[in-house]
Amino acid sequence: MSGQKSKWLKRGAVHGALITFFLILMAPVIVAFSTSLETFQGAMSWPPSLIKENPQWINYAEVWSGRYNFSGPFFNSLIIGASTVVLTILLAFPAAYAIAKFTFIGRGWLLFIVLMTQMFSPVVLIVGLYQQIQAYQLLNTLTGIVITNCAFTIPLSVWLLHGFLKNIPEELEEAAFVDGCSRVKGIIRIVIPLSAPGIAMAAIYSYIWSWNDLLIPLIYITDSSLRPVSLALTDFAGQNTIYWHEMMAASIIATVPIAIMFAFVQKYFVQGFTAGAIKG
Amino acid sequence: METVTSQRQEKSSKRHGGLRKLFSLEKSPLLYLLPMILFMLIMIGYPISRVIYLSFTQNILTRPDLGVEFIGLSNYWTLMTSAEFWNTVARTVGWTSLSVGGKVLIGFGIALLLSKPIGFKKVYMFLLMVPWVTPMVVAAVSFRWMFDGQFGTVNYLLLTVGIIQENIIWLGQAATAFIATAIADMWLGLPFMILVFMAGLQAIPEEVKEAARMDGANGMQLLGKVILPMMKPVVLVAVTLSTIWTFNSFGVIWPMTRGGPLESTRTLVVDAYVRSFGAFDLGMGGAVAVVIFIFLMIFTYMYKRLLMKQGEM
Repeated sequence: MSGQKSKWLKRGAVHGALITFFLILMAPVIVAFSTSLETFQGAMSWPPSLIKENPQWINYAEVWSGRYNFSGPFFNSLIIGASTVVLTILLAFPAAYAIAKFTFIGRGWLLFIVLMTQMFSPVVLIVGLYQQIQAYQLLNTLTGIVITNCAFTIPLSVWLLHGFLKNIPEELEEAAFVDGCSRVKGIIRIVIPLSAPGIAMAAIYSYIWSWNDLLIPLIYITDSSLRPVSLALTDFAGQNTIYWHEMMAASIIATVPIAIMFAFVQKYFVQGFTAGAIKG
Repeated sequence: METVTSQRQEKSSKRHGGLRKLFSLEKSPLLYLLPMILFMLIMIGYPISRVIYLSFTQNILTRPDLGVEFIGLSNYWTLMTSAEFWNTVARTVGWTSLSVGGKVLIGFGIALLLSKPIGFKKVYMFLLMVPWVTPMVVAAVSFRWMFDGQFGTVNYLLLTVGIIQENIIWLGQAATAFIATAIADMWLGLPFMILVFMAGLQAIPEEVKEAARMDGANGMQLLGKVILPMMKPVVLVAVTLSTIWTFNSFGVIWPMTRGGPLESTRTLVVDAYVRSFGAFDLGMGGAVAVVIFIFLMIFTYMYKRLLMKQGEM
């Protein structure tokens, strides 16, 4: 009887600790959401209240199409993200395939160099990149941001994809070759469908990267109609009075696309990431 | 005439057989790799060499009268002899250690709890993804709001619990801004840490733990003598990766404090940015960038060694 009781106590303690942790973990999101439903005066009042008697959903409409016109940055980010993903996969997939399926001299080194470039902060390269993009006359264009993003998303995508492709059994492909398929046809018919989860993972990673990045647009973009969400959000904070209620509404809007995408591939992403982290 | 041509073609096809094989989609990896390699050479290779070159020059965009001049190691000398720069290095190391240390300790604790057979695990795992799906800038501005000196929730909670007696202007003071930015960075990095640790914990066979318990090991002994040693490779890799990411963290600090107040959150990446695009001193900015580059090379090398020890590369 007492053994049963102590078991319950232990379990209660574990859940208690976890609930405390997750409350703290969720706090920024809860606070952001709660503030997004405030009025300007409401946000600037003490003590802060969590539950709103009169939620101001109008804030979202105001941010989206009102004076901030947040829909502009939102669509800019969508375009940047989608283009970055397409270009990343087009360049990373064949390379990852070659590394996973061919043996050649310098293969190990190539993998190491790929991994190494992934670890460079954009800050290290940004001066050089800036001058290059300037030379191509791509400053103040979304194209400039997309190309630069790819320099940072391709390496890890190659890494993730090569790990994934290595786990696809050779026999499946070889069977296709025996049937008279060319290698390229085999890749399109057999390898790509089998590696769809891996491709999705790399795509989501690239999308999140480009959605998150602040530095590149901060330096490339001066035309305010071309700002992506990351830059637009810091602009809210740059002013003397910060309209926190609207800024938080914009933050929630900026989070939704990533959250939706993540929900679809969460399982693969977690598997791939942990496997990648442990196996390298 | 025709035969001659065909003979020639045959000859040339033989001569170029190697080349043709090299460019074959069937047998050679070259065409698959070429687009990526060319792209990376242009977008990574060139900027690196450009930044290294710039770091050896005097190139201040706001002082065109000085011109661009090759000055060798002079920028590095200026950095190395500047106490301010060494402060920045120390600050970066401190900030990174604080953030990574927090991630490791909290991450390990939570991973241990989550690896127990408990209910609602799926709910917890779902909630764990929240920081991951939150864009970095959003996290930064949310934390900035929570740490607000006048209306922030952090002050409210601490006042209610009685830990502090009056409002603290968190982002307006050097020490507290340092801690607040590190907390925001920890928040973003925790899911990765917890997931990696959980995967590591799962990899420890149940029999090993069982055997240790049979031998009379208590909880602490089990943790210290069995679990931690077996987790060592995973912990090392996770810490190395996380250190590199944290070291590079710009997207958290910039929206929260812009490196202030009194430069208390000016880490090396913020420093490189401010020198290049605030003061437009491309030479000095380049030199700081190269210093970061060298730091990361050392870390990457260590990472590779760790991986090789595990025999995975």
